[in-house]
Amino acid sequence: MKKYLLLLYDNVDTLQEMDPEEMQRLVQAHLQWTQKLAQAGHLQGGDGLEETGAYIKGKDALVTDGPFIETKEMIGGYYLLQAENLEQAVAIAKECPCHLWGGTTEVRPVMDYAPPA
Amino acid sequence: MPHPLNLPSAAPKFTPEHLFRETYGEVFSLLYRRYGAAHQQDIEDALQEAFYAALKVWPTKGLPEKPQAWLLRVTQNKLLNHLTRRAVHQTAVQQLEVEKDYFAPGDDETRDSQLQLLFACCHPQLSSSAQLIFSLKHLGGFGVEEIAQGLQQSKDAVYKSLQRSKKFFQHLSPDFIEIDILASPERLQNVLHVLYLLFNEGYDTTRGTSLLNQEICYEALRLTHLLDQRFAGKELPVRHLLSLLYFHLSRFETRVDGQGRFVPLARQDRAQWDRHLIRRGFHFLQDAFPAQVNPYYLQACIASLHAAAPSYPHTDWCAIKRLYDLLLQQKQNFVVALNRAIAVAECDGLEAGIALLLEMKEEASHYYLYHLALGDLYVRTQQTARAKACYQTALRLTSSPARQQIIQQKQEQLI
Repeated sequence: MKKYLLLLYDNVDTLQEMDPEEMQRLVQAHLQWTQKLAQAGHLQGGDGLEETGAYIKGKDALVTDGPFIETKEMIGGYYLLQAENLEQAVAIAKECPCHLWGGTTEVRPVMDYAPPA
Repeated sequence: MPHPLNLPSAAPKFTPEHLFRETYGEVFSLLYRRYGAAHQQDIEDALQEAFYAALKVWPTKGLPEKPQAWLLRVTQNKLLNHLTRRAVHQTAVQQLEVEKDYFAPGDDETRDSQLQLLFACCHPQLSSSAQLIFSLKHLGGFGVEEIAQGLQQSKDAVYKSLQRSKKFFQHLSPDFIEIDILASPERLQNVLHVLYLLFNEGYDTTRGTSLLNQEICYEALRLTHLLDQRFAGKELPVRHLLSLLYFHLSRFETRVDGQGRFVPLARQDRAQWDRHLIRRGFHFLQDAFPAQVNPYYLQACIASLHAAAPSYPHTDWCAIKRLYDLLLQQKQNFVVALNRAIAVAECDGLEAGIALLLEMKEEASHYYLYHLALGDLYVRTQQTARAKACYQTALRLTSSPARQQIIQQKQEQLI
């Protein structure tokens, strides 16, 4: 089994306009999805991320405030997945309910290089 | 293999079913009452952010034990952040800092805040449409799009109405929300009227019978129950309105057939009327005999006679006619007069009904319902040509496709 980082980009406009009832449907869909992944042993961890933070750049370590929403999308959370291969990780990501509400996901394999024997 | 995240074995279902929507109304009223109309936008933003946080946290950490309390706490937190960031309301910030462990309102405070907001928003200077929209949004937790769909208005119109109401309240004295509910009989009349209108918006079949429509009806019922509790069941018109709403709700499903077509009272399947809701209707009508009749009492009595009747012909139409006589004394209203004419037709004979309708022609001839009712009586007295003419006129007088469909159904049955 290999590890994959799943990043969730939320469509901020869609989420800000959402009715409470619809929000509840989205939360329910997420609960079902994570619960299914956990049962299948794919879910290692994950968290939501606050919308604001800090941005630190360059050799002077210049600090600026977030959020950084030049685009309509921002990272809203991450999951650490366990899967056989990239194909399986992508199949998992495709089912993430955030896609139904205008979101985007990104799957990145966690580097795993065995030291030379 | 045991999974590392400690999630329950089955995704939990939300209780109550409309948890987010109900919580929105509760939290909004609590915070609006506490921090005032000036911060309405901050409260709305904080609520949205709290829902967003729930979306992010609950799927990985599991559903909290008390989701409503969780949402209230997070909303307060977000609101505090807003206020601190802008430093606009020092007293509010200080107040919150004193209450480090946050206020955990009891059921009474939660209920009272909603009622205070309801009484405040039923302000005589605000149009009833604006009152309905404001209540649906901030007490019912419905979204702009849902309200637009439910009231058949454009999203833009709903949004503008909300903006206007927001500004209107911001210009009132800050204590406008602290109305003495138990000692404001005039405002109570307004509130009952708005609850009645709210219910009717959901109940109007020409606007559809979707789940959304039903939910608007249940929101009106929920608020009326809160009001009844506040008066400890002692304010009779509130109980009469409850009774009326239950009788109407008992027939909700039977008013439309499988193809979405309107089914008139005469052809509804009475076996499908919800007996439990009818019993509730009688419950709130019993022991609530008023010294002075009010329109809700009379309408509840009429609805009770329909609910108790084994069939349309075997309905106590003469009693219904007398009740409409009294109702007409209370409010001069075309729909009441029309309904009375139908009761007269059933009690005193079809010709008597036709004669009465023809007398009303002057003031009623621009209502499609008038021609529909007259046409129905002509059909039953075999005056087909006249019936056709009436249906034609009715069709011309309404632009609603759903209403036109009802009329066309009748026309087809004539051929």
